[in-house]
Amino acid sequence: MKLPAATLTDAFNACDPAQPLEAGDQRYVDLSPGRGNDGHAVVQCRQRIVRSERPLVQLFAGHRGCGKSTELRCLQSDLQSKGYFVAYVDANDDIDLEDTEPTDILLSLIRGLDSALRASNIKVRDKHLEEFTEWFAEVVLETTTKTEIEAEVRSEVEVSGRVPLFAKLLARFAGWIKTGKESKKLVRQRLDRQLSQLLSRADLFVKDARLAVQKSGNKDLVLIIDSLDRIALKDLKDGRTSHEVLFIERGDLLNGLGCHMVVTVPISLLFSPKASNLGAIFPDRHILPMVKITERGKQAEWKVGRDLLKELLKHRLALDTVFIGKALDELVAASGGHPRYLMTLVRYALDYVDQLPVTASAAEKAVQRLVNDFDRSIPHEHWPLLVLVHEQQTVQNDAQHQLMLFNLSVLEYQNDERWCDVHPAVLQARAFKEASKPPLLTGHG
Amino acid sequence: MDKAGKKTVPTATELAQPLALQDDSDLVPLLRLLARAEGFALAFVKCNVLPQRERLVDVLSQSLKAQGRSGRRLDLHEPVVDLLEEILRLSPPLVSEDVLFVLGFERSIPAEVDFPPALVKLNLVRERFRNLPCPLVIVLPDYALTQLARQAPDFWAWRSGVFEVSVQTTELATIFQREVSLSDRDLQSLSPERIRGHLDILREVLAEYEVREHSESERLSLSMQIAADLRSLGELERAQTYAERALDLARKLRDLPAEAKALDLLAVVLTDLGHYEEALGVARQAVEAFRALAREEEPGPSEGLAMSLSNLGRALGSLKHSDEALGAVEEAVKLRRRLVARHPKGLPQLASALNILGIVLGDLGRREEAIAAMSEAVEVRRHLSAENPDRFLPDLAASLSNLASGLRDVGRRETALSAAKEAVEISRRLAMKRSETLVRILASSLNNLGIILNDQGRREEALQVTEEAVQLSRNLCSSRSVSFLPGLATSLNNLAAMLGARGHFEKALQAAREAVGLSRRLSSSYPDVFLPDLGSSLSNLGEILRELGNKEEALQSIEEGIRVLTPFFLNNPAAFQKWIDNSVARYRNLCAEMGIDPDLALLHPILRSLPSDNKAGPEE
Repeated sequence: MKLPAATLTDAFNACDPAQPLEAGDQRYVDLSPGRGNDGHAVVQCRQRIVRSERPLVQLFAGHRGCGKSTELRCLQSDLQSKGYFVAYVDANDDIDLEDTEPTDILLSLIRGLDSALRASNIKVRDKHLEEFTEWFAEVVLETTTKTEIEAEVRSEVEVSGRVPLFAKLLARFAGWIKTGKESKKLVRQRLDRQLSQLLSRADLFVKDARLAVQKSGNKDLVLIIDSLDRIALKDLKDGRTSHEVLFIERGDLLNGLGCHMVVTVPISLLFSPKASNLGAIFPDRHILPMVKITERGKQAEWKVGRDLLKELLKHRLALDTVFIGKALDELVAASGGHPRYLMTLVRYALDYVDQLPVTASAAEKAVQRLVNDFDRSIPHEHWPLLVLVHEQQTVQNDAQHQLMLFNLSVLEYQNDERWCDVHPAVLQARAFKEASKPPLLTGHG
Repeated sequence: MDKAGKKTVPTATELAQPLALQDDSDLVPLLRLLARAEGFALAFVKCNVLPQRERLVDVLSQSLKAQGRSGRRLDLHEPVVDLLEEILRLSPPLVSEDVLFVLGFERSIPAEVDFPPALVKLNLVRERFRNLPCPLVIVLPDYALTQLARQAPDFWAWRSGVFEVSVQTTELATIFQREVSLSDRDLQSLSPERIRGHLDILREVLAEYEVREHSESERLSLSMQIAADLRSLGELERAQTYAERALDLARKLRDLPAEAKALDLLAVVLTDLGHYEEALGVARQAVEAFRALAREEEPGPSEGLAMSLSNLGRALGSLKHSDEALGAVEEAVKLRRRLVARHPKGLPQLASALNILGIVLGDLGRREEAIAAMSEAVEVRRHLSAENPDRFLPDLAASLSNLASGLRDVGRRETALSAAKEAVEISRRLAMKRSETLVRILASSLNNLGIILNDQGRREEALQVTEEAVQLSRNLCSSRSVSFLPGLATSLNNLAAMLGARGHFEKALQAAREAVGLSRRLSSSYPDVFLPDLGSSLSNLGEILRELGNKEEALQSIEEGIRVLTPFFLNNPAAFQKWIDNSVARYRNLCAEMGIDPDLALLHPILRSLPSDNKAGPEE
């Protein structure tokens, strides 16, 4: 595929909504000037790591598809170039995102760190690791009666020594968490009973790892954990959500590991009624807002943001060849400043032409298709609430509004202050228009 | 391929040609997407009607062939958890020239389940889909697509297109006409799989009508038929939802006949669910609605009124409002006889009405009359099932079982035994089809046979069939409906008594405690209906406790049993005579064993109402 794309097929394949960019990809565009005051979230994140004398745990939030993974990969590469050892952990590899416990996250971190250290040939002090390995083997293996697992793991020890056993145990644990319901329950029960042990051993391991990376010439150790924002948001019907339980009530588990950490969290969590409690546990928080395309409370366009989105497409498409007339403007306006939706819209628009350029009429049809998608995916009870969000440009701290942020029907923007609005495609949905009609009044004789 | 090595992208006209499609059809953009995608791309197609989904994939594949791509199909006939795994199992494996169409994934997305495992899995493993070498097109009906959009948001976010294919109105009307006319008896003769298939089609057609204007009348008929299908599958809560939906639509349309039918169906479903009070209110409304209609129609018996009266009788009978039930059912039988006189096609309904009449008369203690009604029902059903066994044998088995129970009550043991055996034999044969209704009939027939065998001293056989009845009822209850609990409670109570009589007291105790627990639970909701069962179970429990030497608890249990039974006995001595005699005898024996005086205050109301020669006072 030739970039910037100038044929239909190349254009289609250059705009893949399913493909986050790797660091250094030529299609990358820094969108931070369009994201508002806090838009330089990655820069701030990096600065705090560089400046802080003690390890910090920083939360990193943003809508799904807003470019978080791309930005975090940039942060990784940026920090590496400044001499930091960065372990990048994708929680999706180890964790059952539909049913997550804090211990799962903790062990996923340990596993990611262990594997990054081994990949760079950095050895952690044997004594603590051995103790951790033995303790963990006992906990994990005793939870299953299947001796063959033990035999399998032990035979590995004989061949390769103790460190791979640790890795293997963690891998085995991740396997249980990802698959078996029963085994997951058993392992978790046993780990929960020995939670303080787990924490102190994990803490020792991370401290040792930190020393080891420093000893091998790195400035410090940084753990980045991605995809935690994809953990399923469930309304637990007792005034709490699954996210609140995980990150607030048991958030301390993630907060005491003794190294720099950047943790992705769902943006909806920052709008939970317990957001202040979250702030008490994790004071360092960054939000990656949408690229602002409209001034708050006005329908006036914000040129800076729109130009940036066009720039984003310019790195992928030969704009003059691909679009004509108002087509590009239409798509940018309907994206809500959300990069993934912009890619989706371009693909939708390409479906309506036999040859380039994409016309305004094709763009309109693409937007209508996105409107239909929202019409389909938004639950009936959200529509009146969405009307209020649009009027008030803010969201309530409750489960329903968290779900709207989570499902991208409401987006967060910034300029001087933080504000929310309904996705522009949602505004065009028939159900939204219906819900916006003033209620009928009964007359009095 | 063009000279740059890229695929040539066909124009809309070229794409549409093999399909004879209009340019504005949503399929043209889909074909463009498929022609342009290199590697993985995700598209969804909404198409509500199964035959059309099949055809769609055929014509799309044809068009793709002309572009040098090959359309592959994955047909999922059963629910799956991991769609990707199914895709990876395809042989030969997918290659970049393919386009994979997935059909039948809606089976893994049941409408009533939040976050079904298949959607959870999609969300979790979405990264691995990216490794597929070709585009993936998932074809789904509307409801399933909506559920996927809401409950697998991460997977959904990767879509490159969502396309909608609507069904032509004439085609939809043809399918509608064909599918909405199954009667309850038609349904009874179908296997659950067939009914489920029928339900799928109905739901798809309903979804298609839901987005069309002025389609209330079709939606009404479809909702009624869906409710009837669901009822025949024993999915009663969902049947209730659709019956209520039909009722709303009928009211909105001011369609009085439809409203009356919807009320009647709702009453039946509510009775099945064990929501007797609610069912009674609705059944009364149904009768009123049919009466109003009958007044407007030509003179002569009204089919609808007869049906609703029978169902009212059933609801009243379930609440043991037997006098009022009798009035309703007698009127129903009268109407049915007149209808049959006009045309014999009404015979099955006459038999149903006679069956209910028999039960109600039995409840009132009018046993010989009950036997007469039940015998007539058996005769009619025997005649019907000779002509159409599939449709009418289940009814015959149910009637035979009821008749057996009635004959046993009047001491005609041999005839009772042969009726019970025939009921079991028929229902066992039918239950192989495994519909819940048939299993229920078998369980109930076994229960009755057990009692009759026990009466005849054939205790080992009695125990065996009763154990089977308990097991079947337990299976039915585990499938969740509370409407099966009374059957389980009854069989457990009988089992306890039989085990006790054989000296297996520990096992008997277990069954008796379970029976008491269930009856207590049921009677807390419907005291009039289930308190007599509770009284009987308590008395049995007491007897077993006595045998095990736990006399204090035995005494408490029997006393409570008598207290519970007394008001029913006083109200209807004929129906409860045996029960109360049994409990009082046990009570006296136990008091004697324990060396205590019977509680006169407890026995006084009973003794006062007995004929003078029966009034043996408490033993001194």
